[in-house]
Amino acid sequence: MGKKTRPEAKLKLLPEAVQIEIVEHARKPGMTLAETCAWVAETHQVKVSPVTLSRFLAARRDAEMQERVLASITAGSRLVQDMERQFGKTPAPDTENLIKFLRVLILQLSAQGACDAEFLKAVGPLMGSVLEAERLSLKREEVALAERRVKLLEEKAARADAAEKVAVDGALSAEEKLARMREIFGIANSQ
Amino acid sequence: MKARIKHFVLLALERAEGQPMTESALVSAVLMVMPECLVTEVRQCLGELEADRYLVAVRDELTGLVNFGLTLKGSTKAKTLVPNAFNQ
Repeated sequence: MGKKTRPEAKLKLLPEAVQIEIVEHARKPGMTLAETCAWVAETHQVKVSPVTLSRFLAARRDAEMQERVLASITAGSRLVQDMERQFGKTPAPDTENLIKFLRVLILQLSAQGACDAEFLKAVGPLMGSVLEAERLSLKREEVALAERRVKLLEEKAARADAAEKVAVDGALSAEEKLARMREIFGIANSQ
Repeated sequence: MKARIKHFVLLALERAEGQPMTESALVSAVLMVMPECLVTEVRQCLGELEADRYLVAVRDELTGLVNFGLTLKGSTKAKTLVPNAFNQ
């Protein structure tokens, strides 16, 4: 036994542009289903009942909503990917946690379809500010490390200078020189 | 109804382009599109999809939330799905 054709199939078989035209016409303020049916019959030579038209419009509405939600999910996903690409390369543990929470938040809002593209875009700069602070903090640590390195090198150079002076001092005996060298380099006397 | 929910869940995760989605995000998405669904129905479908190995569920140790992602089987299946198949 063949499958029964649904009445709204008559409308669904029309070209997409025509279907969109019908939907836009039906959505005009004050337009009734009966008036739209009359318009469809006159303009496109397709006779449908108000019930059939109503089912068709409901299906189109559902399809539009579905596409909107799916597009929102894709937009949210791409924002998360951008964020991870920019900020997630070697994040500190706190930053990694922040990224994780933001990922959940962005995708949750995207799935609800209630947050628009502008709102999603605002998350990027917000994240940017937080992570810029993180970068500055890391930079400060690097500078402190570099300063410590310089200080150590300066101390080494000073010890080398002192050792050289001892080595060329003719007034000191060999044992005295050895004792002074031990002092300079902080080597304990093994005797 | 279950078939519609599962169909949409697979499409949603496919469109998430590899990003896992929490259970609540998926439930929200389904309810946006099919407001007549019950939350329990959606959760049941997620469980069935996981049992049938279309989805993988991992609990995040930091947030405590369960994240769902597509398995290879799920991804292959999702690519064959037509959006709005149930509206055609």
